[in-house]
Amino acid sequence: MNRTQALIELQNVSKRYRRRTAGSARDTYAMRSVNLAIRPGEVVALVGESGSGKSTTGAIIAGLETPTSGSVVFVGDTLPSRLSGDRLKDYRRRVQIIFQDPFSSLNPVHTIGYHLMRPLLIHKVAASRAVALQAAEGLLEAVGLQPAANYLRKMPHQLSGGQRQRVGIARVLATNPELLVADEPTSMLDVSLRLDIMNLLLDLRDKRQLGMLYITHDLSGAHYMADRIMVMYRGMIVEEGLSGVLLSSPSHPYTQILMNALTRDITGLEDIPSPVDTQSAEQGCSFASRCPHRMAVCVSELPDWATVAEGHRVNCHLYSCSS
Amino acid sequence: MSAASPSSTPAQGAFRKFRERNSRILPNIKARIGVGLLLAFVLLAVLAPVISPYSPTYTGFSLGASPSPAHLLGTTRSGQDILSQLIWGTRPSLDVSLTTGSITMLVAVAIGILAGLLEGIIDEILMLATNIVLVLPSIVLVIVISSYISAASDVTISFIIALTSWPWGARVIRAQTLHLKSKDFVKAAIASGENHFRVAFFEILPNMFSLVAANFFFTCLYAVVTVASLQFLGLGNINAISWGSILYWANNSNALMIGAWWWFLPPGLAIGLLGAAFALINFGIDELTNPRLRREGP
Repeated sequence: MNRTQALIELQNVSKRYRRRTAGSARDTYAMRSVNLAIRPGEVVALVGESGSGKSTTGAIIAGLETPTSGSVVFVGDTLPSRLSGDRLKDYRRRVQIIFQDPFSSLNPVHTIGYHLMRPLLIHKVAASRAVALQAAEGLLEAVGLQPAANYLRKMPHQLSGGQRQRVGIARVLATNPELLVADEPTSMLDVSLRLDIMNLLLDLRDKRQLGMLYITHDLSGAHYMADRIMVMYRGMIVEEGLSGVLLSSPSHPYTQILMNALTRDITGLEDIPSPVDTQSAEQGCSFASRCPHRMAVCVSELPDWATVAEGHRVNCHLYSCSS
Repeated sequence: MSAASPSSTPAQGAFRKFRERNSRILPNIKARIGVGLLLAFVLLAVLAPVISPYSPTYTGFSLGASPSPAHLLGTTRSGQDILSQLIWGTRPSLDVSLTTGSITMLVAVAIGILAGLLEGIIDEILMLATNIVLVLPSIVLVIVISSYISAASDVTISFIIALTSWPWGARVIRAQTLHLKSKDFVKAAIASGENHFRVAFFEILPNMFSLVAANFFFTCLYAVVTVASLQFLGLGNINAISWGSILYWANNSNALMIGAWWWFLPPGLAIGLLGAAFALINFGIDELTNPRLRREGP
């Protein structure tokens, strides 16, 4: 594994959402002690079902949410719990996020040109509007929207989903970021467009040495995109490893079920409890209620990480007990 | 759907945008009538010195005359030409309603957006204030305050009415802000480094245009009626020429009892028509933004 300094590192990050209903407060943990690191030029895929906390993880990295506990380390600096002022601005410039839904990520009242020029002007990447306009054209070309000048004056509703998502990517590139969070960037697109967008992202990674967190619920997409895959279930990372290694020998029962679902063998997938149903997972493994190999220890104790192969770890009692 | 339109100069583009926008508003028959009525009143107010046959304050005509070619709407008991009063009276009525609408809109937008954007304690304090003002019996309060301030000017009256009518808009705008805030484009704007001010006024507010406009016209409607009621009751400045004060003097002189319909009917009708103009514009906005109310048509 390469030893270069991580761009971003989450250390024991938890995120709790408190829901207040008439007097009583109910807590929901979207993330529990998540550890994660992304190096320059590396694509890390975060795989999980809806409600697993993968988007929350992305939002924390993008600086849109703050962790309840744990720390975020950005290029060696531990960030304060709430960034502000110049440091926040600097962080916003260097870390960017692409959203899932291209139909809601562009403001319907602004032109494409406005969307692209704002980040350029905010971060003074462009000194004047004229320079920004030039740069915006360049960005559109970089994401394959040509002739770029035609797109600048268009409103979002005049573009297709795929075109909008390209604009979303172009906007993100405006500030020349070092780290990109891509929150299911292809899930709302036609299948035929997905590969285009994925290739575009990979191409940008190669050209700009971007670090990327690729959030998805699709294992095959994760395999295509990522160097490393992390599998998340109800707020916890349950398995992580180099893409090829992890997918050729999925070890956590949850990952195995996901793999089976991919190959259409859906036995064992029949009972699907709501991902955020109870706080019962407070002490035990988050997957215990659904696991086909559940043992007594699973509901009472949190599992430890166990290394199953070089660069492949799993967070499951099945492995920690035997070793 | 996304047919590639031929490239055009910025001016052409702006023109097309203007036309698109207008063709979206103007086919609506209610909006059309409303805007037409409002424009007619604005014209009347602007051109008052030109089209008014006499000075509205000149008292030298025969007293209490019924309509005649010289005085189309007759004269008052103190010998003023009623048509001239009606035409000049358009000015303060429009003035007060538009001023009130603007003040109310500004307060409602400021408080609604602030409360919606800043959650927690500030939101709770603002909403508490909103709810308190909301339950104040506004017409009573307006009467009390304006009788306390003797001969309150139009601007004062506007402020008094605005004081009690902003909470409706503030609540709706707060709700819409909460809704828009969760949209990805707002998150994207924050992520690209926009500050709170720009997020509020350049990302969120433009998406609430119809809501803000509806609130504005609704308050205008409310103000027209309220101001006329106040003046009819003899509050505010009854010596200034306005529709409300014409009604006050008509009532004072028993116009209704003696059947002088030309005295009390025209100002009443004018108030009704201006109110209808605002209401129709509002219905138009409503139909344009709520597709379920939109009728099939060309």
